[in-house]
Amino acid sequence: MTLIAAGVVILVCTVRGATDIGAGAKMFQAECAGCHGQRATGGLGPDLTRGAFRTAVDDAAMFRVIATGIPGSRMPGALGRHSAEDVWQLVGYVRSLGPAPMAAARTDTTADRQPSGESLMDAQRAAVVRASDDGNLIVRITTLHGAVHSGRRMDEDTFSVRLLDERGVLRSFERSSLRSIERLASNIDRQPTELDEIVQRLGTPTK
Amino acid sequence: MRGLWRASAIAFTIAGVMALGLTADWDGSVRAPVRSQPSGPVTFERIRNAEGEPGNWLTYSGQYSGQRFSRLASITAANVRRLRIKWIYQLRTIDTVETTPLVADGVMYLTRANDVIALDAATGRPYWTYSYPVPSGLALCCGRQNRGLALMDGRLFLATLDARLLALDASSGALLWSTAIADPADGYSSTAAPLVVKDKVITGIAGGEFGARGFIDAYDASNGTRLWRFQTVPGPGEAGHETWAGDSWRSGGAPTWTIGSYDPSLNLLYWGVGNPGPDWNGIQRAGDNLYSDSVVAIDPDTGALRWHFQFTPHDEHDWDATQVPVLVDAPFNGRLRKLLFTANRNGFFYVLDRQTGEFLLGREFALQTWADGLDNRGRPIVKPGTAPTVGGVVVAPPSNGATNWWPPAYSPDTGWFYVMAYDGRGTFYSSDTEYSYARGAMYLGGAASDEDPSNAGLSAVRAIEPSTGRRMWEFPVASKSASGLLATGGGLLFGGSIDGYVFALDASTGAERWHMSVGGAVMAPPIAYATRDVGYLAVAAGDAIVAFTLD
Repeated sequence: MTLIAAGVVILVCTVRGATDIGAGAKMFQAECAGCHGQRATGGLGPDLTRGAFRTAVDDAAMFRVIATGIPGSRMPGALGRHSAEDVWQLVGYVRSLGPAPMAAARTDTTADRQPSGESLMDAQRAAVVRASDDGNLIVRITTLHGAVHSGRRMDEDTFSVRLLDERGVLRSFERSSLRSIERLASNIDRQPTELDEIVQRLGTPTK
Repeated sequence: MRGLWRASAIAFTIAGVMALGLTADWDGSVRAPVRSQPSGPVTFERIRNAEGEPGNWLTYSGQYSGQRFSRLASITAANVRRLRIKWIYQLRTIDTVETTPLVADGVMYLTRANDVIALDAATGRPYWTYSYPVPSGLALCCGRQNRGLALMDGRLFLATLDARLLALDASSGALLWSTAIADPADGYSSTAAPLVVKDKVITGIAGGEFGARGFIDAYDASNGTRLWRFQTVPGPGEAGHETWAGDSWRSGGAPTWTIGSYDPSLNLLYWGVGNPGPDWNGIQRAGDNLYSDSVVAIDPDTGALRWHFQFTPHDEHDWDATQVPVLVDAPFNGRLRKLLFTANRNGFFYVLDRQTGEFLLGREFALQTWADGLDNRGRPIVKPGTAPTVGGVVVAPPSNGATNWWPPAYSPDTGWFYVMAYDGRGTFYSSDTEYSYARGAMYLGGAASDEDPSNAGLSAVRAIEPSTGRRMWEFPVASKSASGLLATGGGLLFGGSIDGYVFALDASTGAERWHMSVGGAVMAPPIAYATRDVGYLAVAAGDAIVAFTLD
């Protein structure tokens, strides 16, 4: 993975100067608008104007998503039919649709904007939303030994589950060590107060 | 269409790492492995008797039967918890890795679209790499993947994304011959491992999203001369041609983008055929559209069709029958028969008599909402209102299917068939405007979304008892997992998940016996082999090949 990341970083450096949002827009209309809508506000594919994405957390990740597609979805890869330069232009265009590019995604056109405290907080919030995206659930876990832990489910997979407990401690469990996982609440609407709390909790140490 | 559970992929070599053509090993001094196994060239006879060489993995499916069963019994339910990573080979690609490695006498051969790499199977260190330059602008429905190689008589055979067939010297990686299978400008490409039978290399073709008329080809292994072609869409005057309205047969698709199986005792090839084109709108191709979504039994000497069985007549849901057929001799209704098992993308598990093509049994193995079962000849009783519409119709399975290209496994010890299955719905749309075929262009007639509208999709490994189609157990895994499976003589079933685990289940009970996080989606089936008297499990995960041994 690190080798791939290195390869992508090299491309970021070498092709960054060639980013042409106009060309990206044309490619978008030809290749992407069918699913994501002519104004990129979604259709079969998701709305791309939100600025923060679950899978494309930064430019390198978005390059990869566009280049190779997304497993388990109808999102195809573009690199078989387009050059890496084309894909970078598309990345530039899609980033330009968002309300406020994240720090890592900031392009030359936005470099003159000073990041305010508020936008930094927005980026942090976006990161937390992404980390807890699928589900955004409050769960109660009971281990085989009878210990009970409640908190926000951060991630869950075939064999394990991780949560941020009520005291702000990150905890990881193997499913085989659990008696039960109860889903207490699903916060699909992502109530701002609750998120703010977590953002505050996770965000403060960086200062 | 190949399912999109696989990511798309691009043969994306980092500049400077891979040179064109043969590259020397990193230090040029890796010693050859000690050959305690049968050595010498891998002949047709050795592949035919591959069950007797559990230390090797000589053909894509392990055996011609497509069973993906290894008699390697050193790793068992009792000791599998000691399985540890022995080595990792980084493929340094952003393509999805779907390859099944081959292992012959201590050397592993694998593909990264469109490169071939030979490794020391004990250490994961390379002997040589052959890089094939993939042109840009290819008509690929689903990115750049390759699923593997064929090996025979000291030669490796690779089918390339630009629809060429290559022969390489297995000891040096030198190119021996290269021949065009089809013109990529017509929408053709190749992603599957070829199959070698006797003196021939058999290969299918991809291109079903581009209206590319499918076929199965045989080439002379010694020089690449084409010996026969079986067209999967019959032309004028051929039987089955009447199942295509008007000129629709010309752009009818029905590609053959996975490998088939072979029965030496009957001398028959069994090959799955893909979706008719356009995928999601059948208005212009009225009829059953033979041999789309069928399995065809073919004489490997002549290419003549012996029989066919169509799973999904007049398909409008993209349910290719491109699952590797599993050939088993077993009792059925009290009589020992030569059987063919397949779990189809359309949600049904089938048992056919592989001598005659007779339908013996069909039963749901996953959620399906499109048919009121099958009639006594195996034809689906299609529910009204399940065809794609302009506004979209919700049907299970989704377009990517209840399973897909990833290979199932069969254990002669349990007598059960194992498949990575998916329960979920998708939305199917047909185009409301005229669509027309244009050479090399996407030819879909609509669209499909595989997001389950109620977000209730479930993937699970399932064990099926073939004489009844009954589900014996299931093991749920992360939704939309796409690994193939491996059954072993150690009583285990190995697989992987899309969230980056490799795992072992008890083949009899489905109980989990071992798992390890490898941090990359497993989009390929595991294999087993042995070298220097040590048993290995190996599988592609993320962008790497990971090999495991007992500690």
